[in-house]
Amino acid sequence: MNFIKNISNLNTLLSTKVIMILSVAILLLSTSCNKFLDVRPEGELPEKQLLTDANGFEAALFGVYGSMNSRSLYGENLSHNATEVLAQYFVCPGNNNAVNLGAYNYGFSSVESLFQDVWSKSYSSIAYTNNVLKNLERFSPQNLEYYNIYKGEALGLRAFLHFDLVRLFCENIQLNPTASGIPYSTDFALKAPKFSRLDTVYNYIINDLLEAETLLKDDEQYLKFPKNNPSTPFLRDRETHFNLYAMQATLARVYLSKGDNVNAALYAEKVISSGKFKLQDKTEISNGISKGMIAPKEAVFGLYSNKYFSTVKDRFWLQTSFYSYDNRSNISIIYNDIQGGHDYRWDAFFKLPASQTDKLRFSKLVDPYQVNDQEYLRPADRIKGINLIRLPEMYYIAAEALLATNSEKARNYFDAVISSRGLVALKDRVPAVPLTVNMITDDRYKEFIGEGQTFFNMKRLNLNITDPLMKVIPASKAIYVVPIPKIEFDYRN
Amino acid sequence: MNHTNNKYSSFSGIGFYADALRSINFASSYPIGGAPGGSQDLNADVAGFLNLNYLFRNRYYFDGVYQISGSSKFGANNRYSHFWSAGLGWNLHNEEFLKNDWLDIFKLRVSTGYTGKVSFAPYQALTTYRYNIDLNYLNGIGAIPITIGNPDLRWERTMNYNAGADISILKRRINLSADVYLRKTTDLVIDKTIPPSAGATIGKDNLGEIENKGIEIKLDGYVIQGKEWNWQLGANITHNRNKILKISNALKATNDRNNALNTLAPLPQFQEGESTTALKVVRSAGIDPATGKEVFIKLNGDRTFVFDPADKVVVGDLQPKVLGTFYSVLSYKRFTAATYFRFFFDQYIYNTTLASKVEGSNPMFNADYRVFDSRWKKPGDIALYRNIADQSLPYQTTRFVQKENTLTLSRFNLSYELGQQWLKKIRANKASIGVSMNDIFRLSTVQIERGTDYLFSRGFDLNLNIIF
Repeated sequence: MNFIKNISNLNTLLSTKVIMILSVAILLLSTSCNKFLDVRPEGELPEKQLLTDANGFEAALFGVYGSMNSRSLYGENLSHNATEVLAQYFVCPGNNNAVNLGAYNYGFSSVESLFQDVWSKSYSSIAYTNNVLKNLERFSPQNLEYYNIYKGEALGLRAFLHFDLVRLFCENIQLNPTASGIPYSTDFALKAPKFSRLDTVYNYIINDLLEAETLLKDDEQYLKFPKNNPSTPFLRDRETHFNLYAMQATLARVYLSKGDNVNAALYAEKVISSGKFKLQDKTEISNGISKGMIAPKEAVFGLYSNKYFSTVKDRFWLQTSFYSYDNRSNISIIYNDIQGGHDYRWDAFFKLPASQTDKLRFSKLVDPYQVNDQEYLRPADRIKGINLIRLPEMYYIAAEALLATNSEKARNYFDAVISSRGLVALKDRVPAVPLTVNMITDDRYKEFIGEGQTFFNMKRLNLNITDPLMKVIPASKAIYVVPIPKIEFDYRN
Repeated sequence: MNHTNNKYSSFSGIGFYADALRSINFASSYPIGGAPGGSQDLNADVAGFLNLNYLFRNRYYFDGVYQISGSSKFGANNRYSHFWSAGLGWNLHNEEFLKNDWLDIFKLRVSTGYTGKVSFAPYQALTTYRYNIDLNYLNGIGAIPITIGNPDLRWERTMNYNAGADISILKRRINLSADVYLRKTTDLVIDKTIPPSAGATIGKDNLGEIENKGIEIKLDGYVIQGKEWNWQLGANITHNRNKILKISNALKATNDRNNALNTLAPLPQFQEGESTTALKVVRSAGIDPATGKEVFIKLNGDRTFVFDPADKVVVGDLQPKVLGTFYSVLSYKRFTAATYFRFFFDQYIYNTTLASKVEGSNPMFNADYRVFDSRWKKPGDIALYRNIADQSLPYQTTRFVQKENTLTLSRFNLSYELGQQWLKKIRANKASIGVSMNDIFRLSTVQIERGTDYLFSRGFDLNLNIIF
């Protein structure tokens, strides 16, 4: 009661004391306490702290590659599982997922959730590349030594991931260029990007790749043939990164897909003539030096993975009921076409049954050093992982793109591949055989088993598909266009 | 100021050669393929406040509190938030016109103000990278964002309005305190579903609004107040109702998912305008005597055999309308006997015992007698429960919804307080010895099994309290 005598007194006291105390409090809070509040658990770093130096950007990029390795993406679905069942390479009676995938029953619940996973995880990985790009804006090549490499890889991966989504979820651009496309994501925010028209998405992809091409120029020095690694860890084993040639090879893929044969041939030839990669010879093929490995000499881009083996082993090496995949029944006829001689891929990609109860196993992806417990025998340059782009594809692209304009050059490219696989070159057959697109398609089918490319190639050419029971499934949108997951549309507003 | 740091690490060992060698250092190796695990929870917060009290002629008073709080869970932009509250009171008992012998306290008070809360993980506001051993990539280790952070995330704020009265009469032998309140929580941090092409499917946002309204009454009094005998009686009664004013699309998605599942008991449904604890089921018209199948009532009143979760309506609330306790404390010299009762009225429950043990069960095995007595067996039976041959999980309908009114004698305690001569011997300030019993009886309008996890149990314990 005696503290304050009357109201007016109260007011003056309030105004001075209160403001003093308040300002002291606020001052205290805003200076010393910010430090007190800047705490994070170990192993967790806010982006502004991580993405401040080379180590941070490299960790963030390794993170993107690591996330692409997940089983939802190239660690299973987009390499040897979903895409290969769609291409009718494998069967697994009794496995509802595989049976419905093989029947192009995209509405079946597990098939639907599989593609929902592909969609969501692809966009997560894309968002990670976007965050790298967003944070790179604060830097320049002057204050970050490998700025160009980081930016080039991030742009390239963004385009690469979008392109595979386009190949799965969109119509064939050659049939309907103005069809609706997918959202092209360039931001890292809790907001979905807008859908673009298919031809627009192609332009975004091409623009990102072209920008990456100039940024990745230094790969001409970092990548050597024979392989000779620089000492900087981030520049080692460039084939496990989205390097300059991966970028050119992806462009060749994109242009061919679009029907732009001139540019497709141009970029495929850039990769071939770079001299950084060589086709394996038939001894190397039959020795299976690429089994479960990022293909020595041939891999333009592959993902390192130390988990891939366990995924593949259960699927192809073992014979687990309702899980392990068997080969389509006429697989041996496909590989053993006597006209061209012996195809060394047959010995390299498959393991013949050891006994009566055994079945033919698809062994191309099974790392022999791990399956035989002989890790100590592994040569130094054999990197465990998943091939995403290999050199032979560039030969096929060049051959197909040049077929109409320069058939001899086209046949030479094609002959280079088949003769390296042990077959007699078309030119050397008696009489010499002219090259056709069908021949390229057939050889692609043999070459890329288990690598997730064949289904997209069939789609590009709008081919009818022959299923394992030799029933012909006519080409249609219903089989070639995987519906975009419903969840993408449910919460757009 | 507060700084929390919880660390947890785990690793396992296998191969212990003898029972006596149980310590982890006697393990002969790590399990094949095993790796150490662990986690850490680290955060900090600070708060500063200013308090102001003013009393005018012992009759009117004013309280004011201003608080500034900061949390490590936010980015630097929204890190601090300001809260305040203000209250006014009127001591009527000090007014001349109410001065008398029997009135001790008569106080009216109103208050209003903001309080705040942080209810999310730090990385949900601030994009945070986490290193992960699974992102090992040949020449380096990868880190990816845990999720896409929402830099605009704000503190959750609750606006409180409170009005109340305190009355004490007859030398404080009878005391009454009553409050009514309205709490409106805005900026409630809830999940928001976004299309996966954003790179994440769930984000946190300040989207929700919830309103709580209620009454609280406390009454106690001494029936006997003497040197040897004392007897106090008291009661607390509360009533609270909440209402969702706004929710996010993620909760709507959860609703759809929950709605489609036919689980044993209905899963929560969150709808704007309804309570967070609303019980929603499909109305039932009973069992068809001809077929033994259940007849459902659709939203428009039509009858059907086909169950559709979209026909669910709110039939009641899982929270009781009135909830309270009353107690009696009787003491004679050093002995004290205390009895506590708990009660609640008008609580709706979904009786899972009926759904799983009577309808869903197989009469071939040990089953509730109602399986045999009350289920439909042949055409013409007017039964409470469906065809005895049908052992599937029944659909969620009003047949299993019951209104519960319950009274329990939750605790009885008899104690004796030790006298001075004893206290001196054990050098204690205060000591008492007693026996208590818990959950002595329970009267309820609903019979339900609580299963073997959380039994109705009667406890009996002996206690000794010593304060030095």
